[in-house]
Amino acid sequence: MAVNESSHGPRTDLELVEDFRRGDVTGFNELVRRYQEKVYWIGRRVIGTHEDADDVVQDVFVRVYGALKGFRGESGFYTWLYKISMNVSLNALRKKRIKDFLRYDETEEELESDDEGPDSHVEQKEYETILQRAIERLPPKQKMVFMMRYYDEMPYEEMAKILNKSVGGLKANYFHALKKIQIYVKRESH
Amino acid sequence: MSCRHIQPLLPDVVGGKSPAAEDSLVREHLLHCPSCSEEADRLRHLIEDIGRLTADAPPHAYWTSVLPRIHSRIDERSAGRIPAWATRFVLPAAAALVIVAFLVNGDILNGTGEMQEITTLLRGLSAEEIQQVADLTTYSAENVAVASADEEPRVSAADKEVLKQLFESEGQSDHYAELDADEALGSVSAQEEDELLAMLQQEPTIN
Repeated sequence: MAVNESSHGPRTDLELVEDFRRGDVTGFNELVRRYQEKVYWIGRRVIGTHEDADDVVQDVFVRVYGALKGFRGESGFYTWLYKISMNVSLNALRKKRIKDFLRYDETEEELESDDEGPDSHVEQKEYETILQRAIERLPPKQKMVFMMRYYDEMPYEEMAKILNKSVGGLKANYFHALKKIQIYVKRESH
Repeated sequence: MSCRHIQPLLPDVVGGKSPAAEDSLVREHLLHCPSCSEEADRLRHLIEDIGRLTADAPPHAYWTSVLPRIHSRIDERSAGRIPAWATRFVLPAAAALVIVAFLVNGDILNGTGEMQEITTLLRGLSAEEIQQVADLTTYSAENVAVASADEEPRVSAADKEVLKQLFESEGQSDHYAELDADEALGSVSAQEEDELLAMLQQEPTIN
């Protein structure tokens, strides 16, 4: 568990939560400083852009501020924060996908006009774009599993607690997420 | 072990994240199974390719800007929120007034005589009874905030094909493409919105 050195010794997450409950807002501030990067990268990997990730960070911590007094400590603070961050990110992604759908004609035109001729650098960039898009388009459930395992390197046992799934099921989900990315890339690259 | 049991273990083995016992079990299988061995090679390349995808980290100054902006948003929300004393005393009393009026006559605007009866009835209620009535009709801001951690998605991920068909059936796909997305979302009919929400609410959320 992350701790903070202070004149009273290291502060655990739960101690900072208790500080906040007693009316000391510095407990909340320290939790923000401690976890803002993790929340940012959850948002960034789920949605894709810096602006969207920034919205996620703001939204998550505003919610945490309102909900922290009700935090019962049944799970670790970061596990609780992770759930909120994932939910906020997935909701933001849903909205973004709807918007993207509504703009789909425009997007297709942009892609079609992006023809710079054969070049290995361009091909590599195109491949990376397709790969990125394949990850973005994973179904939310598989995307969660993929993010937790690939980027956050979260142990399956912890994932199982957060997602209420069996370890075996999560391993299968992770495998199928990668297969789905593989199939999308193969299809779009030809 | 069969290929069906081995395959879900492959990503962690090729990514170097599997426990030693599982790793040796899978590698033993790969020695004798060309199909799984090829699958492992494809996954290894894919995992390496994903690892090469880069996203520019924000500048250091960004991190110092986060906390002040969070507090600004919290302050903005607080400014727009009904004060605690109002939710504690005025709203319960108002809620009780409305409900009692309805129980007495079905219409609060039926005249001053009824209002006097309501006032008399209200005076007969204990503070606890007023609070119970109010609890039936109001949510505290804190409860809403706590619920947000587990909230169901209000608008979930779109099934693009179904949405596409939905809009194309209206002959409006070009129209929507030209609009701002928010504006377009605001212009779908109530029926379309219901269909959309029903469709989208099937998405999973962590509970």
